[in-house]
Amino acid sequence: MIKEKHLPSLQGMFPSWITSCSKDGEPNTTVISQIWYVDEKHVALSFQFFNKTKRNISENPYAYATISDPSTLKQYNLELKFDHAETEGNLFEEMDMKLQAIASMTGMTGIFKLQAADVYEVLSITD
Amino acid sequence: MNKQNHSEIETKKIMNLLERRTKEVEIIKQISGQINKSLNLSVIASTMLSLMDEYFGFKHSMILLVSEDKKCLNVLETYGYENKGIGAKVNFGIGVIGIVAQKKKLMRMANLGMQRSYMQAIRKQVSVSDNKKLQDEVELPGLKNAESQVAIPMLIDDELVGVFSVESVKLNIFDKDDEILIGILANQAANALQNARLYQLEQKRLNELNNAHLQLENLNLNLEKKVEERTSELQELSQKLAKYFSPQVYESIFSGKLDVKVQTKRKHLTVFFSDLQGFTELTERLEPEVLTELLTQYLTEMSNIAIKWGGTIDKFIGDAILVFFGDPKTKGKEEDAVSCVSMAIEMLEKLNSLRITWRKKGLAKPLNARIGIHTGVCTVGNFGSEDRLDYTIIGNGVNLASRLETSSEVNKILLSEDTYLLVRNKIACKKKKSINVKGISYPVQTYEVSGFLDLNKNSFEKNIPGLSLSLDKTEIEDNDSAIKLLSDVLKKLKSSNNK
Repeated sequence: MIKEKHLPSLQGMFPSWITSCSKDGEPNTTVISQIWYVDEKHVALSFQFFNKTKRNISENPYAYATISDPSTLKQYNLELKFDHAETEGNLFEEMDMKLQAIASMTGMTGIFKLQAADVYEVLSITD
Repeated sequence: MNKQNHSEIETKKIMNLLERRTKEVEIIKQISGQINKSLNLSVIASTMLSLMDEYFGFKHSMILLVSEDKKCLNVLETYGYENKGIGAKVNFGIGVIGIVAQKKKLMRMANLGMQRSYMQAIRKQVSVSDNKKLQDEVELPGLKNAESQVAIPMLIDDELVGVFSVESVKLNIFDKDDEILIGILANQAANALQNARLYQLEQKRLNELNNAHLQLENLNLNLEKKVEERTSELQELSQKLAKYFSPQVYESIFSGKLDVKVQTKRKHLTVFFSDLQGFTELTERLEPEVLTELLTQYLTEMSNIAIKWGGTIDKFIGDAILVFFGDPKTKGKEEDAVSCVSMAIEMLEKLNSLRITWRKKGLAKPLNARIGIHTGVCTVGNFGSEDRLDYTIIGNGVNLASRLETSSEVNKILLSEDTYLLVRNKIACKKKKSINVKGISYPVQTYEVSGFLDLNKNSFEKNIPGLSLSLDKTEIEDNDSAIKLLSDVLKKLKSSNNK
């Protein structure tokens, strides 16, 4: 599903958009720093704070993301469905490390804490 | 056709991969060969960093080493920075490098600038809304406008040696394919650095050891010198002090045989007492300087004789001398007494020769000595207070010796019977009158020394059947009656011969 050409867009070089929808049908779009590549059929989002996206997903697992290739500025749209949350393991560790590195640089060690790596199934990618 | 194309593409792919792997092996060989040439940390690190630029185009990189206390990292060497920043400290858990060190995992960071801005924006919000006390923003070594950073832990058997960090103002530094290769190279460098570190440590220890050795040597030398100085000081001091003591007493004190504290013991001693007759009169006539010289000469000569015979000089009282034998060293009661009398005889002889010298110097009136000697039990030891001790003798024996001295004729030696009985086999004596001494209930029989006993001359003993002849000239009080006795015996023997 996810191909090699999509990988540069999943390295957090350009921010991504994510749109979720509440059970009442109210949409919410926000910018996130990175959507992580997990495998060909999965991506992950970092869960640090309980926000509107998190609340919407808990009511309605479907989401829509837009990623950009930093060198070509080409955009890809992904249809996602929340699959599961990981609080340990390689994926969680890798995401946590990066978060801690940035947080510690800005003097906010301990304030930014990765709660979980939320893994989404990629339903489709459109160019 | 299509199939053929496909397999061609596959073959090309494999060939490319093979080429790439061959190149990688070559790079590993080259770089590890270079960095293992040296045992100098900085040389290894700078070689590694410049080779990484050569092979991978890393324009800004650094190597940090775990500090000795393992609490932080220090920048060992940097490459491509204006400010080299060597020695800068990075705490574990802070920044990309600190986190990599803590987690011992490679980390690639992209879009750093934006992420930092994002965090700073949140920081403002957090500090305003929560009124929380936040830590200061940390200044980390490296590019201020870095966009991407890769930090690789340098490991040996999963133990962290340091971190190799690459930064770029570009968005992406290297692709994932290079990750493994760079990881291998980082670990190669870790090995080289660890070896160098151990070598340096060993060198440092060796230096420390050498220094310690030198210091110890110096210390020893100084110590020896100091001890020598102190010893000579003490020696000088003790030599001065020694003149106040009898050599035997001095030796006993300094050898530790005699404790310097108030303690006494009863001992069998032979006590010598001498005095110069007419000396008091002389003091009125002579200049003090002349008198001092005279007295010094006399006492020095007498002391030398006393020391020669093993006497303990107790004290000088003006021109009077008190010497005793039997403590602290003794040769036995009899030997001590003989030594004492022999000493007295030699002293008189010496005085005789001194008298001649003095006469030559113009001392008209001759100086004469009187000597008394007694053997008996005395109390000897340290008398006095805790602060001032005097090693001396007390007791009736001392009084008796003094009394004998005053009863003696000039230039003669008067012995008590106790002494006489001990020396009579070696010293010739004449029996003199008895004297009364205060504190002694019985009259004391005295003897005057007439010289060393010539055994052949003074005594004779021969036994044949029917006749025993025993002669001791010293015992004979009336020589004429002795001659008469022998003449009678001769007459008797002659008359029996005629019959």
